[in-house]
Amino acid sequence: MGSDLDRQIQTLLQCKIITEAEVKDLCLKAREILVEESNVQRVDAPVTVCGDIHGQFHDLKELFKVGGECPKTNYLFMGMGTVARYVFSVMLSIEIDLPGDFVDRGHHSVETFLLLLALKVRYPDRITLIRGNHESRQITKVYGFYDECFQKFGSANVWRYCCEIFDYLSLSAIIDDRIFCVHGGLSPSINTIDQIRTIDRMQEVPHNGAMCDLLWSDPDPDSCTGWGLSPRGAGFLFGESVAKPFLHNNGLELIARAHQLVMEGYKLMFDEQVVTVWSAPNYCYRCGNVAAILEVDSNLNREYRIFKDSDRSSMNSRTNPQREGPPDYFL
Amino acid sequence: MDSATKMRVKVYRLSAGSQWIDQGTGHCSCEFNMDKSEGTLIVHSEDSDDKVLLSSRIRVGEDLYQRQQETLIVWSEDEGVDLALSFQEAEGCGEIWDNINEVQQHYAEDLFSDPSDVNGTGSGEYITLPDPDISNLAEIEHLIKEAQSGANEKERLAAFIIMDSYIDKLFPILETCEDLDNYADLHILHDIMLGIIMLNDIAIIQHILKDEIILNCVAMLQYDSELGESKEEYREFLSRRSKYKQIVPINDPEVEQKIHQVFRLQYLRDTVLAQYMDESLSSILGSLIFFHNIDIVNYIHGDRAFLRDLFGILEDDSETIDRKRDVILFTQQFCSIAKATQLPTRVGLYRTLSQTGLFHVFEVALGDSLPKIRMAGTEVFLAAMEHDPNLIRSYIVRQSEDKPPKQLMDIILNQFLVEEDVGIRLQFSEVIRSLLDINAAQTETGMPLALDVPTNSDPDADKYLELFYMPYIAKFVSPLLELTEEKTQFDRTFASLCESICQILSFMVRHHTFRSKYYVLSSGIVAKMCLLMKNRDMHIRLCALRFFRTCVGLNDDFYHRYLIKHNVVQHIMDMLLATGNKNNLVNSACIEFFDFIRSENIKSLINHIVPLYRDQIKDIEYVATFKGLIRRYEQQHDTSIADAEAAEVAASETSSAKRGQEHNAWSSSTVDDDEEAYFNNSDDELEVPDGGKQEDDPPTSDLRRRVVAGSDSDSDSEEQGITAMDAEPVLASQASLLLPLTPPTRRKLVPYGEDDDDEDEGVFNRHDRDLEKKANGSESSTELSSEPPLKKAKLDNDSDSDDQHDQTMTDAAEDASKAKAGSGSGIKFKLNSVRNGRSPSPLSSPNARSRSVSPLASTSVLPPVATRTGIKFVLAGSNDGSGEATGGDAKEGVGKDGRETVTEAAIHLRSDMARDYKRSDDEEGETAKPQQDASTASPIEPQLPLTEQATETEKQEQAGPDSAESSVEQEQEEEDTGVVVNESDAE
Repeated sequence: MGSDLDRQIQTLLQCKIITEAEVKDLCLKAREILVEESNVQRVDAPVTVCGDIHGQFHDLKELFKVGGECPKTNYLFMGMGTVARYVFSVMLSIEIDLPGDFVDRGHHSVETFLLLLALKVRYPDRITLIRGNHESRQITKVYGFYDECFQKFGSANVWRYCCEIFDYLSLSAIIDDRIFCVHGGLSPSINTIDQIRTIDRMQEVPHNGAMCDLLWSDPDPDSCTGWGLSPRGAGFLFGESVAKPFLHNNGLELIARAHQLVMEGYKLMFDEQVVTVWSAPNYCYRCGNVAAILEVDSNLNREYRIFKDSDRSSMNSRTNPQREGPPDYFL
Repeated sequence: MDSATKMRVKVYRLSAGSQWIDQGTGHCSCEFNMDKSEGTLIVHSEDSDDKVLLSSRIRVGEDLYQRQQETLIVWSEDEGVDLALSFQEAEGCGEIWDNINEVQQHYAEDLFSDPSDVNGTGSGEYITLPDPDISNLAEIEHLIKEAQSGANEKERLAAFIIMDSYIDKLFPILETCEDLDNYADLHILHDIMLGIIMLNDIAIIQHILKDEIILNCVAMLQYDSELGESKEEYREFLSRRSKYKQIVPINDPEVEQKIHQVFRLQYLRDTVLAQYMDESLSSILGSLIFFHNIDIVNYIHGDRAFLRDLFGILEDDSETIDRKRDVILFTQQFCSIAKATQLPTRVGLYRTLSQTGLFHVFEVALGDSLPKIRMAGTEVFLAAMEHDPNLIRSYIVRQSEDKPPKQLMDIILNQFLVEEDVGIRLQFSEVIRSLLDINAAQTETGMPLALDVPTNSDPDADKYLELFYMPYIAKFVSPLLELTEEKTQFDRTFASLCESICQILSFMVRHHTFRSKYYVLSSGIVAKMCLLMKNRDMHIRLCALRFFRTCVGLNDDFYHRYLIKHNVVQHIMDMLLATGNKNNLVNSACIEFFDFIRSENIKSLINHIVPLYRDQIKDIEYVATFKGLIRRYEQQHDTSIADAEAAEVAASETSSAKRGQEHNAWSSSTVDDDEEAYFNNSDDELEVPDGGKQEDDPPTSDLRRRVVAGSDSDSDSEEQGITAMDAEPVLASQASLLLPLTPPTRRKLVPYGEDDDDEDEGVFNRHDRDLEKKANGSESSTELSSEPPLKKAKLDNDSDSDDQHDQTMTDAAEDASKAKAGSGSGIKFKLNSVRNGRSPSPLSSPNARSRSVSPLASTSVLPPVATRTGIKFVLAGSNDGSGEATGGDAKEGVGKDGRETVTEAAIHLRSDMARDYKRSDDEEGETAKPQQDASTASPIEPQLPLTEQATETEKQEQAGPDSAESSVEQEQEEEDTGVVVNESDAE
């Protein structure tokens, strides 16, 4: 693929944004690739499975350092965590909760998402992106990605382009027919992998139904049976007695998912048949958690690699906002 | 002008009845003490000099005094009396206003210069710093670092720095070091300056924002030691960028200052201090910006003369195009600032803007040759739509009557059609969509904003639709209508245009019941959509498919017949087969289309599809959809099976009525075109497990519904019956609209049965005429009353309803037991885990209704922030407790009354939920104050922002009296429910 794309990847790797026109072009290309992917994307081992990045750009680079650079290592991202704003920013009351409040505080959802997307376009078979609950219009609008786009590009266009891509992203992946990867978890409407195929995924993440559940559900470690209602207000809690038959009936050995913060980076549940992988170290720069990636080798041996957040002082996120359209009137 | 006229003033006093009472006219003056730290406003009556109308000591405190418009000063006295001075001349008002400010400023300075007054901090308690010198910089830095240790120390040091004007003393040193390229000391200066800012003292921040300070201040911050012998260019940026443009002068120097300060604050926050930011600094900067912005917006909002001058430029032919563009960009920036303020600040803003000439912005901007200006125009347009959607619609309606040469709607549509920039076209299609979205006074994310305008009741909204469906729609869809068989190669621009049109048409089908139906069935647009289905561009095909899927999703037989007639299925089948079983998005989208028909058991389509395509589909093994379709068909045509499956039909009937009702309740909640589509999809799960053949269906189809309804079959069917017929007046009328949803076998057929086009149109024509007579009726009522066949069907159905009811109950009972049998894989709620007080996601929203659940919470430790989910727990509780014990017959678990309460509560819940969903939050999205418990690895994830998070008051305000009432009712009922559950638990 063209050198343009390589140049854009280089730019993005420095945590700088590319032009709006380039984003548009990139999204068009990505669309062509993603539309050919299935709701359950087949992936061959070896592959490294990662969770959300949550806009922690510098930790993504750390991740690549730990796991290997992109074309050399195959990657599977179970959601991007495209939110710009810290979700638990409690010190600001609603009244003074301004758009973009945290956008520049080391948060780089735009750069992160575009980098992953550019890598996808450049190496379509080497990197798999599946949709997470954050990759939706509603969430990104409320939690700052919209504002971040607006601030960095001066218009909402980039946000619109990105949202369109969200709709094309695959819903899940399956590694060598053995490891099922999904952002959230299982759905009561889905008993077999084949049923996922009957979802028309090109839409905003619904508020219920199979597609919603795949992106929003959580395993319930306290319960060993059945389904429960999720306190999140979307998706379900699924217990061991649901997960195990699902694995058995579909000939799977593991469900890998993201969606929940685990302090240790990863957490095995249900006799090691479900794992949560969390790939944003020191989430929001204050949770103090470590992050993990799951390396699956060609024999499907699994190894978890733990990493910490990149040293903040070396992070040096000196990106002067390249604001387009200077605010001449309100300086 | 002599000073007497200038200072001539009327004194007003606000009476208890909120009336401004004239206290007389006189001349105003301001008397000071020596250092101007105290002052008194005095008004001598003009009738007699001795008489003093007003003598008021100027009080100190932020925002006590307000200047409104040009000539009004308003404030409250200590006793809570509101006073106002209305000046004859703006100049006089300005003078007094300055006097007031002066006094306040002097007072503030006194405070700082006499620190013994400040919180009792004696001057001895200052933390002092030595006067800066190149030689002692390191020592100073050390002292500052030390002072960072505690809040008290910080405060004492900050007080000293302000008192001593310490920051200013650093500037000569900066200059010297820069001259000498003395980087070592510059790095220390950087740390000193940063240390001072990190004291997080608001007075310090305000000080460094001053014109003469800010540049030197950021200059020091350029020299981070990590950069070695290089530096940032903050100072350069600020001095270069600070070319403040004024189109129309802002007459208030204070506001002007605030504008500058906001910019500096943002720059500090977003760039200079970004990497050092901690929460309290961020909060200080954030609130300064926020409150300044409010002042700016309020000022401009209040200054009509300013706005008139501003928008007047757009009308003035002698003005240059550049100046007009400036006005547009100014407006765009102003709107984006306004967006960041609180709701009350924005209320009425757009109305004021429109009265002073906002519409000229659209007329000039939307057709401009510069993309940037068009973009700005659409931004302003969408912002105005968010706040006051009827404003622009009314304007368009008015224009259609006045017929000026340049009509806004024409400009929009023209530009939409010719727009080359894909991004801007997306904006335009959002503009068009938002105009058509008459039921939603909401933003894209569903946040209702238009508090100051009544929603749904605006006659202009209806007129607008009428207008759109008459002259404009033809133009809007013209690119599609002009399509021919030959044109198969679309360039990128045209392809995206077609996609946009398809999306909006889908939106219209979903939201404008009869108008869009009439249009779709009469315009031949379906044939053109079929052409799109043959296009080589996969994305266009997908958009067309989505349009058809939307039509089918309405479960309206009119559409089904029409689609059959146009052989639409053929195209979708072709599209499916062309994927060659390749598992990709197109393949899935096609399958979903058929899967929906299967799961909804849409007989007309099944009868159409299976005989025609049996050969093609019978071998598709990779999903169960097509086998299921064929089976449905066979069931219909094999009477012996049909009897056995009666339960299924009945169940699916009720499910579809319910589904439809839900759909209708939702239909006003147009959040987003795509987003909305989920309805159609979410319904897929509403199917009833297929008794004998479980491999086909997940046995747990609609868990949620079951939970809400309770597992005992009686209440299940009762609930459905009630929901469809008499749950609430609104719903009842909606339910009757849904009659076409009920499968044809059960419905008394309306008098047009044949697939005869003429008759079709006949019905519609008559329909349309009737409509004109009732232009003001709402869509639903109009449809009901003007279409006899439908109405008749409704009546028939009503009279049937009892029988049906019984039937449904039995069926549902069977169904429930089947579901039980089918749920071998253990789809059961394990309620204990939920009830045992596992802490909820930190993002569960605090909800006004949590109170009502609390009786239960006290016994079973429900999450403190029980949301709707919490309510569902309650109902699930009855499900688990009773249903489990008695194997599907719950009569013992819960008393009869209790059960009714449950179902009723469920209904209310349901209708309320539907309403709630309409209003997902936007800015309130972060009301949730998550309690982060790291050790238990609680999920820190945003909650789906559809959860209701508004306060109850707000909710009632927004949802109108109807919901206020019902929410009270609901609270009551939930409490009841809670009791019921406890009882059942006890047993």
